[in-house]
Amino acid sequence: MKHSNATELLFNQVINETPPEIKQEVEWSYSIADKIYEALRRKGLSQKEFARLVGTSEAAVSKWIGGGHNFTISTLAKISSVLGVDMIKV
Amino acid sequence: MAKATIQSVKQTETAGLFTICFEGESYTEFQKFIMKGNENATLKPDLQKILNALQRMLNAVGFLERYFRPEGKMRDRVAALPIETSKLRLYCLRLSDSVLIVGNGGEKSSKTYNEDSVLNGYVVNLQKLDEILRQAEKKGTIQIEETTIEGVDDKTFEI
Repeated sequence: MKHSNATELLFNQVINETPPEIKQEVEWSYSIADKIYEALRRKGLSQKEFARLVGTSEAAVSKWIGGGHNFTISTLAKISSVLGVDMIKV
Repeated sequence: MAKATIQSVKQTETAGLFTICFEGESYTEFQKFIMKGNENATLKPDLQKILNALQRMLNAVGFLERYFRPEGKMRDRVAALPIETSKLRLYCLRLSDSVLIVGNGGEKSSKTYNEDSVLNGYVVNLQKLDEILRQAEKKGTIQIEETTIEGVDDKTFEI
């Protein structure tokens, strides 16, 4: 299969030019998404049940575990207390 | 109908990223998407988020289903990589947790992609390619093997 060097170079160029705060935002939002997903799996909690416990919709939970979500401190506090997992250990 | 080839973009131990290039075009579909976002000051931060998310998937856990939003029809594998705070969409074919074909995309100006003829065109191209790949997988002429697509070589697909 042909490899597109030009596409890879352009991709890498954008990655290298990305400001550190954007890189950090992406890393945090996906790490938190993975952490919630893992905690749900470990506890055997469905997204529906978790949504009920947190007081939100299933669609919102789906966005949280999908990565790329901009969490507020208040949402993270709610998630942490329901799951018993510190989402933002500082 | 247009002729297109599948080309590889990035390969890690976890996953492989591919794109499409139409015959006679100087740029791949993914290149066109990146250039569009990179040249627009408003869209650039969102493009950076999308590409950094893809890079993280390539390095860490792969192209997990929950990271993508289904965009085509129920039975196809067309998906979008959404950034919640943004209207920029990258359309792709998620063939497995380790193989992703990225196409073109752009700023969503309507509620659904099919109300926008340009975005709809990108999705339709991926739907057609998905159908062709499904038939080829069924016949055994191509296989999704770990992080790559076996049997594609320099094959041309009529989309």
